Amino acid sequence: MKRVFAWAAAHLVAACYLLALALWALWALGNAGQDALGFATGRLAAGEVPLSSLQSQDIALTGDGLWVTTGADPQFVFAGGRPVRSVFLKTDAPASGFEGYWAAAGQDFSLRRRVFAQGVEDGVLLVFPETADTIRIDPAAGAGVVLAEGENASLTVNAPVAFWRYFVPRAGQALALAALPAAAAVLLDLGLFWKGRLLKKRG
Amino acid sequence: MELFYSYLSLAALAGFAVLMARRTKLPAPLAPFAAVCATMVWFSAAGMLGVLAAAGWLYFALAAAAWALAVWPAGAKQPAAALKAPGFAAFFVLAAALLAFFAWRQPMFSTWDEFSFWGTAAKIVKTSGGLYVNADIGWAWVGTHRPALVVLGWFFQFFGEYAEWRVLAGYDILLLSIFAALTAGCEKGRPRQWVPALGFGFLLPFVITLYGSVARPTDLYASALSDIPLGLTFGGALAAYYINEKKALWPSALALAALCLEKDTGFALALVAAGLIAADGAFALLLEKAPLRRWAKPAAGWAGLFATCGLSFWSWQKYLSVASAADTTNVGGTQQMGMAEMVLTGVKELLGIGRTGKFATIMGGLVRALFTSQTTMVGPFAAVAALAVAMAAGAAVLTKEKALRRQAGLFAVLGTAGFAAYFFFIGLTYVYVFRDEVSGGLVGFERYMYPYLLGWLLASAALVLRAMGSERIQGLVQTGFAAMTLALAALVWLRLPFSLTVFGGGNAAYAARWAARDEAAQVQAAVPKDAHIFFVSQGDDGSRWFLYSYELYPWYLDYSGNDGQGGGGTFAVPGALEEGAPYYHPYTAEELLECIRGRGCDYVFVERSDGLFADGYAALFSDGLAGCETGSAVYAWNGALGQFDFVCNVGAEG
Repeated sequence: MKRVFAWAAAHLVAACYLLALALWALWALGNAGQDALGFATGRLAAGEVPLSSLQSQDIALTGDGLWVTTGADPQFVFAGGRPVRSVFLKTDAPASGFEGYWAAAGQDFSLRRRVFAQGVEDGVLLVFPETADTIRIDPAAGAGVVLAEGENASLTVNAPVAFWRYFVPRAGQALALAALPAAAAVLLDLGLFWKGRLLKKRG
Repeated sequence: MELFYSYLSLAALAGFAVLMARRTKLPAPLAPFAAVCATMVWFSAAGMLGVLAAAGWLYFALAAAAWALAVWPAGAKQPAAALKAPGFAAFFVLAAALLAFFAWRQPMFSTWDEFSFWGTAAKIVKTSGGLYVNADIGWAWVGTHRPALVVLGWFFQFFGEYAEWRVLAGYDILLLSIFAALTAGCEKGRPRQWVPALGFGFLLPFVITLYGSVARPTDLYASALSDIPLGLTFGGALAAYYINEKKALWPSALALAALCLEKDTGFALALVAAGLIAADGAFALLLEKAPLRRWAKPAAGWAGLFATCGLSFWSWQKYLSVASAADTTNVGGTQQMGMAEMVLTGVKELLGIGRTGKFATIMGGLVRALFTSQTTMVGPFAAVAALAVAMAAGAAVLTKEKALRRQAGLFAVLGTAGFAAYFFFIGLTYVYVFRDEVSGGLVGFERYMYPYLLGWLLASAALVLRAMGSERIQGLVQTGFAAMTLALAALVWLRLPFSLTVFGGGNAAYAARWAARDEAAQVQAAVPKDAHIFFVSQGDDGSRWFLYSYELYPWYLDYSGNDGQGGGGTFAVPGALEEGAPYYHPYTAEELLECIRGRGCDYVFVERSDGLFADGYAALFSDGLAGCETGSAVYAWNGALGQFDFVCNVGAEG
């Protein structure tokens, strides 16, 4: 143990990054575990939410049964009162157009609580970093994008998320992983320096 | 695979950096910056001589030799342990990580100037294997901008296919090398010193070029424009001098040579930097009361710096005068003066001799803007200037080392004088060069000030970092600088949502670009490579014309209009729109046909049609423009019919 500490003190930056990675893995495992528990206890449940039941803006159902964006800022808002971890939509629209926002009840949507969608086999998947009560989906940046077919088209909420996805950091988390260990190393090093200096003065 | 090829370029660069760190007394963290600058100068020179490709192969051969020499132990001036300097290693780790991230994220160009010059030039160099001055690209091509950054982007894709992310990564690697240079004064095993040094550099562009609460995506670190690299290269040249206790001039000379080849205004900045360095050295000799014979060698060095700037600047002028028909001496604009005449007139007006109202208004407005405009995250430019002076003065006060105190004190004064001179020069361009609508509103004023401020702060930081080795109150400078950097990081984090940067953004920012690229690829498939294509995009302000010129290259997108009446815009019969409507090309059907055929275009690419176009010109098309109703379409000339035939639809709907 002593040798580990000595190595860490001599390689503060590397040690902080290794520690951060370990903490991240624990965090991801914890999230996966929490979700598994949620499914087991029924707190989280997969379900279909018809698009027609969502509040929407700049999106219309055409006579041919197509869900098409009609304006510059199309969005679906889901405030279903149940915790949501992930949303899947079967679609041919490009995943690059999709963004998701999450908020607690009563909270405004913010650029800081935003996730980008991943394209999966036959649709797009949005995974939120925490379970949220209210979500907003911006499916495209403009008019004329066909989102789904059929009057009864629906979102799948809380479709089980593959285990490995818990380990992929969202943008904000990646920033924290990149920046915080370096900042921690600086603060630690400063702390050690001042500790040594003040003790020396007293001695 | 492209990532691997870019790593080959990085490895070659590393060969030269390692060689410099082993075979010269250069502190290792300065070596990557010196190597990047040497690379820019090398390829710029090769481009001007017309031997770019050969110079590339030679570069990689020399890099292999450099690696061999660097590893060979005999005759090394520094031990291999010198390479363990954290800033040196951090540069390569960060550069490799950046390339990997960009290869995955695939950032793209996003601004007008990237399509009208910087990005298009990069594509031309990669496609044609030579410089871009006389590129065969429409009519509005102004290829007289300097090549150093363009060839740097090219260097990172010497092997493999052209990709925008590789150009952008090249720019960022230059910036990273400058940030790494800042760590040259830091002691080994002291993250409290070198981590804030890197962080300060990285945060600078955000702090200086953004302001307010940012609500739109920013292209910082994903931009092929020249302002930020220009400013930081200027600062890097000074930092390389100040931070290196041995005061070697050659790394700064390399940086200044590169600076003069990055952009025209780089010459002004380079002269300021060379002047600061010469003044610093002269001041030291004066204070030492050095005998005259001891002046000879340093003075030759300073003269060498100025000569390097001059030679580097002149080389491109000379190249242009040989290779291009464009007039290169005139600074252009409303008054048609030469550079020297402009400065002379300006100084006279400043002194009150023949001062015009325009001079007084514009200069007064600029000075007011300096103190009142919220132009950076830390406040108006005056606040930034105060910060730079405070940093240099702080270094002077808080160091025990006499030489450094003198250097930092002098820089606090002369850096400000340099700023005043630069500010005045920029003011003159507003008075004498820009059109009235630009100069009246001081349009783009911030953008012109950024380079000097970036460089100024960077050089001040270099002095602060060097002061850490000789603190008067031990720990104060280190703690203060770390705290300042953390505060700046917090400021940036609060003001700029991470998802608006290239590092945290999604694909959505590039969705429109990908759609345009797919469309352009379909046009290329439908049209022979040597054909000229006429472009119609109703309602365009020129940006789509530039975008498609870029995307279609090496296919030739015509200027698409008569002199001064092309390059994107709305075609409509005379009288259909108000006279003077922006980008309105009033042509009758016969005139449009004559224009298309007269310019040798066999193909028409109707990117965006509308009622005006259909009303005026349906008769020129054998399907009466029915093909455009569902989206963009390509038409081909049918000589027998005397009309254009529908070829295919292109784009998402096609």
